[in-house]
Amino acid sequence: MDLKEIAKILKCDYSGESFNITKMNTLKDATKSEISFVANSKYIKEIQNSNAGAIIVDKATKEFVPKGSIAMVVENPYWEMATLSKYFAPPIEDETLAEPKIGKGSVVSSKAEIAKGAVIGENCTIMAHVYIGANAQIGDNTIVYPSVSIYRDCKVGNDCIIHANSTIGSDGFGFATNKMGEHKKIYQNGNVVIEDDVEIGSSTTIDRAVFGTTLIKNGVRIDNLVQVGHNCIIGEYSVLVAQSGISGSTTMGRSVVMGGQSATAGHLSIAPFTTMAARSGVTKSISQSGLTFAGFPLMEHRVWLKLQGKIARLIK
Amino acid sequence: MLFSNVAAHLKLDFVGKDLEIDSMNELSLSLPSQLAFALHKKYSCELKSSKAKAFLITSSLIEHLPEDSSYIVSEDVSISMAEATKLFHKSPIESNLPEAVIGKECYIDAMAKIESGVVIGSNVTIMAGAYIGTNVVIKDNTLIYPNVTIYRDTMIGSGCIIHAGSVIGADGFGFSHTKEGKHIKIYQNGNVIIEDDVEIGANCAIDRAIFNSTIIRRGTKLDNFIHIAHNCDIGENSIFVAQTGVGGSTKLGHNCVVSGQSAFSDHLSIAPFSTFTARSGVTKSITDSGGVYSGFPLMNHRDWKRLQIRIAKLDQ
Repeated sequence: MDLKEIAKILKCDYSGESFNITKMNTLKDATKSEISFVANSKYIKEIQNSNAGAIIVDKATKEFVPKGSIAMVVENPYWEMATLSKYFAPPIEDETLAEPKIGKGSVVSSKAEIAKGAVIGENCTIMAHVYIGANAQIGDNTIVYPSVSIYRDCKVGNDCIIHANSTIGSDGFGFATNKMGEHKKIYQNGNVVIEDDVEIGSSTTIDRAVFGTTLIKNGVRIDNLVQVGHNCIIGEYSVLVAQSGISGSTTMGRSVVMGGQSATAGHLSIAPFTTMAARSGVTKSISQSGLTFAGFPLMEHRVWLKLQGKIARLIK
Repeated sequence: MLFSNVAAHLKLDFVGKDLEIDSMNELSLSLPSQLAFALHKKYSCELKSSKAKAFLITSSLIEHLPEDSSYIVSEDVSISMAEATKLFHKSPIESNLPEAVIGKECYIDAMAKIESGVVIGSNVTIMAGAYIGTNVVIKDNTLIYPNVTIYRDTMIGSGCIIHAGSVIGADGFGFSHTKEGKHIKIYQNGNVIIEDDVEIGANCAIDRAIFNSTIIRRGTKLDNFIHIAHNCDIGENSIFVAQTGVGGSTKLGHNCVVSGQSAFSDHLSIAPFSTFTARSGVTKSITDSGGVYSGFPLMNHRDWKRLQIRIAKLDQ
């Protein structure tokens, strides 16, 4: 989309040169042909190092925009970013794409729906009522059980198993809110990538990224009814037990174990080989690897055990 | 249906005129054409002012009936009520209704199932595997993702988005319990109303009302795995983060924020602008608006933080 056209949508004055903007992205990842935004003054350092072609800012942060990038000045950058995100949302299905490709030895139920542009590898089993969206890719030897929905542009690797009724690539939960308390949708234009040898239980949901990718790495095991928020990265061989929930942009190292009904806040970083007992509530990043935690607020498991002893004695 | 037929089904006698009854309702909301019921003496006041003409009551309430009432006396009103709901239960599929009416520029996937009596506005997208039940109304510009199930009589506004795997209008969880500990189904004969600009995440469950409607009001956004029980009324522009649940008949005011893994008991009334942090367990109504709450049992967020510090010190 032309930068001048974007200026019109954002209702901001811009008379400089115009060039084509291909997508929206974060300050850190945006390239010359992409537009980014700043909604919070704590990101000022990131603005100065950004390679974005254009950045949506308010008056106060305009001065921090680096030379190579164009400032699009608006009153409320977050709200306007939400407005603009709609224009970069791809159509849900695209009739102009190629017919879906299905590899040798794969069995696809006649009651499954494979959208145009989708590619399915060899020896896969795709069962009834499965939906595989536009441009979605499934590797070899993967089994997708009935009524699973895989949204457009998502990628599933080789040797994966996805159990019934799970949803891969639904929109992340992102909205801009105005002073009236109304919420405007931030279109989630990223995707989900599931690497090889991943098993996902039934009725689990993995949300697509706002920009970029929600990533489930090799060998991860996910139980039933697990929620993985947008832009999360789940490290290799991690285990997420039933009803656990990972909030947006949280990153886990390899071999992390999340017990049943445990949950994390957003934007955390969890060290490799961390174990969370059932019902743990993680609100801060964990930097030391190999420890076991429990409780909410979170504490080391051995401390939690002692504390429960003390609490039990309170009523004696 | 004639009142005498209801009495015959319950194997009980009736007193008064044999009226035509079209449905059942609770005392305070019932209309002259409806059968109302009262389980307990505490309803004597409501009984006096009820607009219903036909009642199902315990013997102790006979003296409190409005003049000219027809009534059935039952030793166990709860069980009789449950048995009576079966008479007014509508079949999931009806054959003699008009064919679905579908507006301009809609995309209805060939793999979606639209029952008869359905009315769909213009520019609506309904994707593969979606099920739209009898008499459902869906207004303009609404988007239904794959494998969503919408039960009969549900009404969905304009500009809504419903993500994959969600179920709108399944039966509320209601049973009457016999002395032997068996559970008799209370047929859920109400519906669900979703107003304009509501977004519902993946794998959510919004149950239909026992009588009347479960309502999600304009501009409210639900993340994944949200459970809304029967007869709830969720105010405008509210936010529900993943894995939260609301018990039956609970009412939330507008602009409430409910963070992840929180839950509400049934029959509560929550003031507008209330905020609940993650894992809140709400068991009492909240009358003052604008509060921030945490924990289970619920308390002010400030108190909760102080309490957690105290608990941590128990160990020292």
